[in-house]
Amino acid sequence: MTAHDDALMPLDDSDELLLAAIAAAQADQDPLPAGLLGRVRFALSLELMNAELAALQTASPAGARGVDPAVTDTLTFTASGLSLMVVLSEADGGVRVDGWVTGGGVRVEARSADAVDVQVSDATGRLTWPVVPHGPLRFLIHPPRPGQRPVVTPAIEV
Amino acid sequence: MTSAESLASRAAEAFVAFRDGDPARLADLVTLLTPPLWAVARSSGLNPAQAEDVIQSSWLALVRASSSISEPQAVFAWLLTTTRREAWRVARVPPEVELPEAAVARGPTPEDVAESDDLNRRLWTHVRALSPRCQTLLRVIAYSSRPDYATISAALGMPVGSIGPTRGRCLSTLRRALANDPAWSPA
Repeated sequence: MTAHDDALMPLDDSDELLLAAIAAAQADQDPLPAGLLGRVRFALSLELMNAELAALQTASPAGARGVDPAVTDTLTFTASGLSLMVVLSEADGGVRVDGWVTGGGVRVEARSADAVDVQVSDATGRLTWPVVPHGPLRFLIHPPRPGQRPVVTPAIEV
Repeated sequence: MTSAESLASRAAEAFVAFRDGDPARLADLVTLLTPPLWAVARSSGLNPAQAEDVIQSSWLALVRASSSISEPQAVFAWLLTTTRREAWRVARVPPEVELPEAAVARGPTPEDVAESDDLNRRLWTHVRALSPRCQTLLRVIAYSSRPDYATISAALGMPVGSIGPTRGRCLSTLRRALANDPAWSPA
């Protein structure tokens, strides 16, 4: 026997049962936090894409809601080479997002919990997502020119 | 001992595929190994937010070091070790001091017992009363299979060969506590 063969000896049945009970209790009493796996995967994809994380620059003053009751929020994200402004409003089955990005022909992904919706800006930089589901949402802006880094926004709750 | 049962082998397979250009396999690796890493971080005394930070940094460190990892079979051990060291640093456990097996934490309070309205919660109360070393060991091996035990003992800083006896002592301590718990073992 080598020195660590004892680690390979069969457990007796009751040890197996007790370990199985510990596994069940652990899953029940100290589970992974909801969304942890998704947050780890997101952090890793940022790392792999060498993406820049945009800053959330401004939120509309609360008074803006009084102007148009359908508009819930205006947010601006800025990165070193571009910015993205989004206006969120209630829509059937979710949220409508109207966006303006620096430049035309820019591919922007709206990433919700389980879907990715890609839109391309028109010549004036405008793009629209007619409906995105409620919940966490972030945007991934593909590099407009080769050699630039992709830009990812922090997640917002819509 | 089939390789399909070994966490280290499944991790190695996903890691190689990821490094060969399939990013989806990195997500598989995260799904496979985050639960035991969570067990290590939490049983080192970190709260959930601290544990999450430590786990994020371990994964980022793995991706940054991925080209220099020469033995894919060692990825599981690499992550366990990185997570344990960082968790101990955050929890301010001196890095090279082994968690004492004998220093038993507080036993369950009467309130704990009164709140234990189901078996999982009651068992968990007793697991949490074990020494941190026993908690880490039992929680990690509960996710693993026997072929992983040598890997786990090395990564947890336990001398090679000690995992069998240590596991046995930890399970006996737990079994004694359960035997003395009237709700678990009705007379």
